[in-house]
Amino acid sequence: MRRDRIRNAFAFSLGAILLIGAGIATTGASIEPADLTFHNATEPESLDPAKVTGVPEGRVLRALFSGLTVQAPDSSESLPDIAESWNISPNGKVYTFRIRKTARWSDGSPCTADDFVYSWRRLFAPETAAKYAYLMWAVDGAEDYTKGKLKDAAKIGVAAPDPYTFVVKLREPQSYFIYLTAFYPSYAVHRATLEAHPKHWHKPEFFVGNGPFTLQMRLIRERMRFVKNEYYWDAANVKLETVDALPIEDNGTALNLYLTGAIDWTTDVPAHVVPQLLQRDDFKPTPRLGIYFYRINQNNKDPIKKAFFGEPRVRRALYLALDRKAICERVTRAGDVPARHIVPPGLDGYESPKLPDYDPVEAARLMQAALSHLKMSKAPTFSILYNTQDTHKLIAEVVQSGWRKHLGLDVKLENMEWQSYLKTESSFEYDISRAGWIGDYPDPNTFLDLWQTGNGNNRTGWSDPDFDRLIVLASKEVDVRKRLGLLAKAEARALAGQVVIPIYFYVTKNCVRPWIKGWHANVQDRHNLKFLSIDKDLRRRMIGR
Amino acid sequence: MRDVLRFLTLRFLWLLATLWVVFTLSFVLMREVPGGPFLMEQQVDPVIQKQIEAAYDLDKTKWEQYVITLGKTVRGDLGPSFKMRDYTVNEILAEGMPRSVALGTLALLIALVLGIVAGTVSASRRGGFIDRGLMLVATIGIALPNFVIASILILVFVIQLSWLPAAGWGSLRFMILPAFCLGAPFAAYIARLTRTGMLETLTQDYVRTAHAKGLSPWRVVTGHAMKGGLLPVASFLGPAVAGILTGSLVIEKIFAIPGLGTYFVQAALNRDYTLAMGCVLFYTLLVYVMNLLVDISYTILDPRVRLD
Repeated sequence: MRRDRIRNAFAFSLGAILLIGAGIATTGASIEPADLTFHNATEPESLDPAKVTGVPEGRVLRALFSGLTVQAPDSSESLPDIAESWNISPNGKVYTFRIRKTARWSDGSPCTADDFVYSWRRLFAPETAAKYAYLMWAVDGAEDYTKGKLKDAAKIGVAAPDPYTFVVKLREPQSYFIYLTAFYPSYAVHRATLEAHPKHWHKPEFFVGNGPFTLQMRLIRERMRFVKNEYYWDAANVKLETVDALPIEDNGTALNLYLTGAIDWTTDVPAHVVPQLLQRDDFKPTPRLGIYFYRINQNNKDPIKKAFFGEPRVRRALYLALDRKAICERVTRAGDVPARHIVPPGLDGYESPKLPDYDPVEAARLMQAALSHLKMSKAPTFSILYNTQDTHKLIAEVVQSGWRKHLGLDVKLENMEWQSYLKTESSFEYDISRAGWIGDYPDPNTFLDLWQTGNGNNRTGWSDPDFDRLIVLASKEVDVRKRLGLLAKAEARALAGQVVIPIYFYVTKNCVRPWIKGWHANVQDRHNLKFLSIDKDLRRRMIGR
Repeated sequence: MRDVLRFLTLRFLWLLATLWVVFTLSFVLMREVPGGPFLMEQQVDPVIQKQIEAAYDLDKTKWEQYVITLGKTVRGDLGPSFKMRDYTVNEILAEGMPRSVALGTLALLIALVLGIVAGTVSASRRGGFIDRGLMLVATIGIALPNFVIASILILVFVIQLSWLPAAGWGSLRFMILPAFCLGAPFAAYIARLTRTGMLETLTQDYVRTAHAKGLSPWRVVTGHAMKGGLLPVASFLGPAVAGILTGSLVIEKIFAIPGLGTYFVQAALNRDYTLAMGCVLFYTLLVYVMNLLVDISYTILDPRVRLD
């Protein structure tokens, strides 16, 4: 009998545990929807502006922090933010920023030039290990300090002669430097909070920022809630009270949420629904600073392939026999622009030199000439490497069939998961590999300097002393027109040498509700929440809320 | 009582040994795969790359790393995540667990109720129309991948009928569809197990006796046959609970649920060594404990089974 009782008690307690569990599970209350909810791809790696490099991180950091300048909503122009004005010395090497007296942190304390001195020194410090520190190495002494050659932080070219003056000395002029003062690596962090809570300062209970919003809630991979920062110097012009960022990894899920009204802005959509979405008024892809291309390995470990891909006519033939238009029209289908050069269009005052258009006949002729020059009876079999993703696969298939048909090449496809792909590419164990590049700042240099000899992002083995010289010359040139001219010459060299095979320039893929005002397409696809507002009348008319 | 203590001590020692083996295997495998946590498409200066690696002890030899990591793990510190750098692995698991438990409990409840009811009804109507119908549904339930079920449910209940939210987390409304999708294959499996178990017990002498006593068919089935008929289900529950609690990458992706399931795959793909290790150890512990509970529950449910 006792055993029976135990048995019943066991069954009963199991049932009770399940019911209590279900009870607890269902007590979570949903929170009030924010003024604006957007899809932010993934959980940010960190809220430390010095430690991150990603796009989702940028969306969040632009809400929580402010730079000396801010990028205009509809162009790449730098507008005053924490700095109310600035001037540049005639030799282009000294920037003097006037910090506004009304600039405050979200705890009410003043935000001064000293905060920027502290934060920039921290960015360059070896112990911070900031991935983007190198973007700002134009600052005098910064590179040496990061690399440990300079020990004294006070010798870095940043100074605060008074709380409202921030002076930056560059080792050489850098015409795009002002753009970097709107980019998150240059943001200031709150020293007192960092020192008091070195491991937890980015948690909502401690967080202090100087941006238009501050952090109210952060649930891992669930939601970040921003509320308006009343101490922000321009709070009067910040229209949104609350904003939610949802780290949704799946574009399809994000689109479902958008279509059912749960979110107001998605930042990307699945490729296969693009044709249907294009018929909607709230989906308008626009050009952005990014290029999809193929790297060609000229440092191949196989000597036959090394000779083959090292021959410029081979590389040109591969380029000419690749039908970029077909890829844009049949695979990506979002209005991406077929690429005949490297620097994407849309940069003021810069005109790229262009490669010839798709020409399979000329391609075949060049390939024949190259093979007979190399004394090869037949081209080696090689493969196209890409990271596992449907679009990359479809594109590679189009390329594969084109090269087979027009050049008689035996091309294999090889897909790898992301990390293995990166490793294979960076260790030169590939033949042709798929790649993408998004500009860090609106200047041709961000698409060109990576092709310099030995640059870690080159990864093709291509090297041209003339190209290297032109890039260095351009970096020292103060005159804007002359500088862009030098960069165009450099790009012409890179194209003539066929450093890579350009395929297409990216477009943005945002879906935005019509009642969100102040949202403008721009080539960097950066949208500061500070400029957005809600047309409540329109929203009520459209969805009754 | 002494038997029980001896049994539990032994099992505990085995658990420690299992965890250590799993730890070592995972450690070696993870570091042998190409790539690394801080390898990016946009390569940074080698000096900075080294600084980042040093910050996470990756500049040390593999042996040193092994000893350091093992030491920390023994003290219960799984270290900082490499990819969600504002958090430690302990924090990530602790925040994801209640969500996974909540969703998993609901899914398990759905699986048990649907599975046991369907299996029992099926067994008592053996060979009939209802039996065949239910088993057909169960077979489809096992065969259909859960993302297909999820897509169909989203199409019907979210897009067409607008009864439920498309994805997200917060209240019960958000959990219904994912819990159903998560529980459905388990429900189907439990239905088949229940049916088999019930069919066996329904032919036993004691069941015939119960019928002969004049008990109603309902009392016979629930009062007598079920106790024995559910034994196979009990043994399946251990792995099922572990599986359901740790969730599913696919379901969590489709419904944007911030549970643990995603980490099991994502951490490995990201080479987030610490988080991947945390997940593996956590899962080992869970499976081990669940199987132990099943063994114990067996001695309670079936008088013929003893602990040793």
